[in-house]
Amino acid sequence: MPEQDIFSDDYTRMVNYQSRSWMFGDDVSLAGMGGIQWTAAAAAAAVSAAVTVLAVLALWVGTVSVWWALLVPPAPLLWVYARLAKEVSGGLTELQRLRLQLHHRWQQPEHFNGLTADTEPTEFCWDAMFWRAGRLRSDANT
Amino acid sequence: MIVILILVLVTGAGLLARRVGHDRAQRRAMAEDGVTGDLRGATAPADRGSRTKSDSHRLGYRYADDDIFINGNGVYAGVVLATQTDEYATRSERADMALQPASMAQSLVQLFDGKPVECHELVRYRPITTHGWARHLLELCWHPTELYRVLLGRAADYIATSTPQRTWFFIVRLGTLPPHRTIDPTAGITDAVLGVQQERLTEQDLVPWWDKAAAFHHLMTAYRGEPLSRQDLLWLIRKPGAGHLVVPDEPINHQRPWRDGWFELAAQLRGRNLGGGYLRLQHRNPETGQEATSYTATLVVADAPGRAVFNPRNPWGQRLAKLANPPEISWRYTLLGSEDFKRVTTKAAANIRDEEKDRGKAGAPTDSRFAARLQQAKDIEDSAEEPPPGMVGRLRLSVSAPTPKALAAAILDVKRAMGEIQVEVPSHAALPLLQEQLPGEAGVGLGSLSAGRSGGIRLWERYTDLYAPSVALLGSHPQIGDRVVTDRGRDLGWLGHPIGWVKGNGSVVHTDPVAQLARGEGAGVGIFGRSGGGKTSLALLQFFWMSESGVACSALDPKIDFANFVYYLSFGPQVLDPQFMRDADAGLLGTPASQFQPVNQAFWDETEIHDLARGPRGAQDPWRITETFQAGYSLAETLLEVLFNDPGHRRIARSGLRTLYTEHQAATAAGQPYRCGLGDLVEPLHADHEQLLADLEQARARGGDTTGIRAAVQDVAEVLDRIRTGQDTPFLRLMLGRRDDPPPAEHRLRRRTIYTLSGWRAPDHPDEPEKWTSADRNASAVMLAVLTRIRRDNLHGRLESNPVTGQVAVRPTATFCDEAYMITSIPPGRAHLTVNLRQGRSYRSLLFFMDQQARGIQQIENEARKGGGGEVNQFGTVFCFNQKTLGEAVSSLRLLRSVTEDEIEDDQREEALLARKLLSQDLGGELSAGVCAMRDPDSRVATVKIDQIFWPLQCASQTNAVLKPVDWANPVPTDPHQWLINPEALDSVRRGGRGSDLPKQLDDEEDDELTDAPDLAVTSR
Repeated sequence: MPEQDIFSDDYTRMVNYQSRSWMFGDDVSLAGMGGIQWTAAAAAAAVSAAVTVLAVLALWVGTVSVWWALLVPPAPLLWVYARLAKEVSGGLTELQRLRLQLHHRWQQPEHFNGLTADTEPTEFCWDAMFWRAGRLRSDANT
Repeated sequence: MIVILILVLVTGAGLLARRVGHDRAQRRAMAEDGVTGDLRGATAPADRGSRTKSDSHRLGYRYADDDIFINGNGVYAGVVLATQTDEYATRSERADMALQPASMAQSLVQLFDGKPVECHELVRYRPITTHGWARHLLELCWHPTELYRVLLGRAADYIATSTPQRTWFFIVRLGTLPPHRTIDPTAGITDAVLGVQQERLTEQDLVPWWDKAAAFHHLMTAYRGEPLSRQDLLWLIRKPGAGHLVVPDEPINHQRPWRDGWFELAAQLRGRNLGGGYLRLQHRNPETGQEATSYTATLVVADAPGRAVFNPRNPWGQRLAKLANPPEISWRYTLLGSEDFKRVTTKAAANIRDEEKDRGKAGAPTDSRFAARLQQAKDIEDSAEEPPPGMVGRLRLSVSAPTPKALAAAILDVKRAMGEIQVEVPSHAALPLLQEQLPGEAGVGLGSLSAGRSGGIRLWERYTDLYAPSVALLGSHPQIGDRVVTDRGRDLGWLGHPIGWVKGNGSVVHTDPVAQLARGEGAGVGIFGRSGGGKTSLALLQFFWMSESGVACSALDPKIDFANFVYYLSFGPQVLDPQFMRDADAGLLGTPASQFQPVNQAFWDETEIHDLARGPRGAQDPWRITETFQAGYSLAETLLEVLFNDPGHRRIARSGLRTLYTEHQAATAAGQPYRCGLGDLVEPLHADHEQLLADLEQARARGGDTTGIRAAVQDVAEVLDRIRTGQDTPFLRLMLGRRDDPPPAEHRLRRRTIYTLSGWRAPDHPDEPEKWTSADRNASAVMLAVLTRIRRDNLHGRLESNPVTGQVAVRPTATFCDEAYMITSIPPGRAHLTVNLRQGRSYRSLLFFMDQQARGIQQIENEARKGGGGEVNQFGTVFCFNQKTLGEAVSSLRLLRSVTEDEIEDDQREEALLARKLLSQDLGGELSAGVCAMRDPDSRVATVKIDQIFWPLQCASQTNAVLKPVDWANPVPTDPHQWLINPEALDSVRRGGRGSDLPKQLDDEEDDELTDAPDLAVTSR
């Protein structure tokens, strides 16, 4: 193969692409709002609903009119949607980034002393050990 | 209710205050580590006090031998791939090299029956720490001297401190080890309680994996991959924990018995997480016990263009290698067969196509990013009939430095070098990314981020075709010289003595030309270039090492460089005494009659110097330099053919020769010894002359016609005069021995025989003997005599007993021919060198051919090819020193690249571009004094800095007349342990190659810069 023909295609952008819908039904065009990314929209709606419920509870406890809670949903809805529907950056989708942060926050190794860790470990000491049987390779077995 | 609200507020304020205090503590901790400034986004290390968190665990390694290793439940095998020497390669050749990984990947997919193949490609910088080559070389030398043994050992120690070598590893997951049946149910409980798991691997468990590894290794031999040994693996495990610090190859020395075996602690990786993606590694020097520090960070690929085109002149792998602080590379990828990769891409492509339709209906605006994806989707659909295989890769670049400041600079360099491929240091994954560098599964503790059996962390993945590694050209790393070759347990190639360093990367260049013969390559070693380039110094270096190793070396020395080299090494500064050369001419050096006594007696005793201009009469007499009377007679006949042009004179001289023959026959019949020399022709010729004079007198007395007799008298007188006066004529006198000369000492082939040719010059019309003057004939004849002697000594092929091992073999020999154009200009010289080239392999005899121009080598090689063996390069190794003109450089490049006239490059422009590198630096090229381009027996070509290593060798090979008195004033120690090492060449390679901040040097300057280091998080953005 001549050298000018050597190239490598990277499909990552295509594989990680979060496709959008541009039509609502057969008649309503969503081009004006730049299409809609349904996964992000669903997640945003869920978060927004949860926050609204919390707001309603807080208002109710505070004996304030719960109708004020109607002001709450738009902000989390837009913020979560904007975060989740945006183009992948830094090589990570928002969900991957969230997973990484959760791992960083909660799932660091707890092998010996890290049982109460709330951040990633400060010190690390990893040992590479090999088991060797009493005999050598040709009978490297027990 | 109000109380509850107040409680909530107070709690929130408390948490906030604690957070602020916590951040301050982090800042203090980072400042102590040399990291200051903005920490936003950086991972916070905990307080140093009670909240310090520690991650101590055992890595998943369980078993390793020279074929496989087991990590977790994964069984792995690996190879060390040979790097590619592409310095003088054309674009198309580089393209061929680039395709190797793609071809390798396709072969692997086939080997694994189309199932996913988990691979791990690693590029690491590994120090040369083995002395095995030196021991092996000593075993293979014919008869090494003590001087050789000591200097070789010291050279081995010295090169161990040289630049770490870029090493290319390739590891494959062979499969999953099935869980072992529990034999002892209590063992599991005790293992869990004790935290120690006893391994239960049986031969039955391992045999299938050894077989699978053998198939893998066999496949990889096609790509010049050597199996990854246990020692290699241990080094690979230790390396990520040391950062930029040198990790020597050492066996495991921490062992603890456990039940019926023992645990071996192969490595301990320790350090501190500085946050923000940066680690401070602690590494204990095994020799001094001192703690050393290295700062490290791992870069991941944040984004890459949809299509990366191979740039043959500057692929990114090579760009990284050229950085002052080159990153190490860990590239895990899963090779997917066509169907598997199709499943991944087709689904994504279908989504894109759906969206395209939607966009069309909605009249969505044009989006270039979507258009690029759409194009890829269409490409995928177009190739649906024959879907290509692909890979999911996780490329990581690991950068380490002694100070945060240096690390920050190195990270910036890497980012720039990667060009369109965006790389960054992620702030939340320093430890997982470090763990990912380790060979094997390396997924412990990564939880949901674990990439499972493919190892490491499942983030920053790239979906590409199989050509992604090709575009990088990771294997680009010039290495040249000898390599180990074995055939059915026999050594056919080995690493010889070091002669220098690859200029671009500091790789050691080992060259033992005897190994070239063993490998069946051509017997020639070509050295060419203009005067002052360093070709003689290189030849002298080889002359030294080879002769001391036991090779019988002969040198044709027109400039007295070889003789001077030996004089200085034998006598030291005594050579500067004006009386010295007078004693040398008289043959008195080292004898009781001379005031000059050798400082290196053994070296001098093994040297024989013949001065063809001033040497004693008869030294090259035909009967003195041959074994039998018949051989001497035959040579004498040939010499007379050269000495006399006139057929009548030749006839007269031959008649004298026949008289000697008759005398020899008579003496032999009578059982008496007989000796004679060419100078003894005087007697029969004188008798003939007397007889003719008497005949002339008689003829005159008879009054007849005396014309014929007078002519005959004249002819005999001319021949007689030539022989008589020749006894004092330069060159001719050497051939005119006499029977009453002292008998020659018993012939013993010394390590060094030097024929100095001072004043010798080739005839003006070499191919027209009829035009030769008497001086031309004398010079040609003596050269013929010398070449006959060399042929007797070198091209005999006789088996003899090795003085060290007692094994019977042919002793290796070598001829060094300086200013070879002088020798090839006369037909006998050309013939001799051609025979040496053609038959040298059979006789185990090398020819060092030194000339100013490539043309001389090409001519002699073509002549040798005509005589047979045309398919092999007659010159197995070629060294090209700097060239004067572009035309000569192009010619030299063709010789280096073994391009014949029929295969001249189509792309003349590219050829000229490559050839320009062969010009001297002052003409815009890359070669300077002592730097050459070398072609080795594997046809690899690279620029090499020649290094004599030892001061005495450097002084001895000084050929500059102005500098000789300066260098030769230095004493030559009798004890080779006292020979000083000159690190200049290695230092210059370090500075010119990969920058000055090499690991060894960096060790000394660490910690000094910690106090004023900039913020890593800021500078690495």
